Amino acid sequence: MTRGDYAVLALCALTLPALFMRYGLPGSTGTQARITTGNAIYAQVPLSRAHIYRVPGALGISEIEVRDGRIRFNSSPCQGQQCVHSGWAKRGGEFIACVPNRVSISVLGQGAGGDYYDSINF
Amino acid sequence: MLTIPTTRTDYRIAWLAALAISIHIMESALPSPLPGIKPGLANVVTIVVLCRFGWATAAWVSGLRVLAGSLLLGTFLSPAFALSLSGAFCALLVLAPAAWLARIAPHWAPGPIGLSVLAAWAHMAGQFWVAYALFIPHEGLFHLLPILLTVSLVFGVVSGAVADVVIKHLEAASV
Repeated sequence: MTRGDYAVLALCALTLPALFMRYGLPGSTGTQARITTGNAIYAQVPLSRAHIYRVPGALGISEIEVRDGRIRFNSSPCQGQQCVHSGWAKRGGEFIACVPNRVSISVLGQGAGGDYYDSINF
Repeated sequence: MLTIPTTRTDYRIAWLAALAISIHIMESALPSPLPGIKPGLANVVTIVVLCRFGWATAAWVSGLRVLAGSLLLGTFLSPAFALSLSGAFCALLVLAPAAWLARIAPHWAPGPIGLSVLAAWAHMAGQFWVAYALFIPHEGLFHLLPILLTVSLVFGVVSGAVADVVIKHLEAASV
């Protein structure tokens, strides 16, 4: 190892933490979620504040709970209850939908493109 | 009949390029945990050649490896080829001043390990830029950059250490 080697390694050791701080890890935890009813955005809510949102949909009220940086459908007037069974979502790009009630939640990643998934097919 | 006169250097480049291409192709058969991540063992050859025969020979060997390697793997002019070429180009671009520094100030210049890490990072940066500019112009790509550079730092050190051992053996053999 020469002095030049150490210089190169020191440069890398300084650059990497800066890059990690700037860009983070892929699929960072979401900080906000967007609740959509029909084709319109109903609300954009922070995941930092625990709260229960009562969102009116096509069939009735969907109860959406935010707690510990996560979000879920607490109850839903729909028959299948798939939205409730989907459980918690917290990562950027995660998505839960109640199709019958036309209410959906999508977790927004940190910054542009901080999503956990590239794309989702159903 | 037209014959092209060949020099000793031509033969040397051909042999070394053949070696680099063989490693390149063997490596492409290895499974990779993540697409785009591979050890880059062919770069051991580039570093060894750079240290023993200079930048120009290294550039020839590296360029021929990218070209012939892509022809043999069937990726010529495909996105993989564009990434490979841009990576090799940037690595050589960075190695040029480093090799020049080694000539004027040998005590301050990076040795095989430093050169290998420099080349690995330049390679990754060049590839990344082309991937972003040409193929995936999505800012989410940048979240991969720290991880990719960490991996290439590790592989750069490993390749450099291997090159160091090879160079020491070559020196011992030629004295």
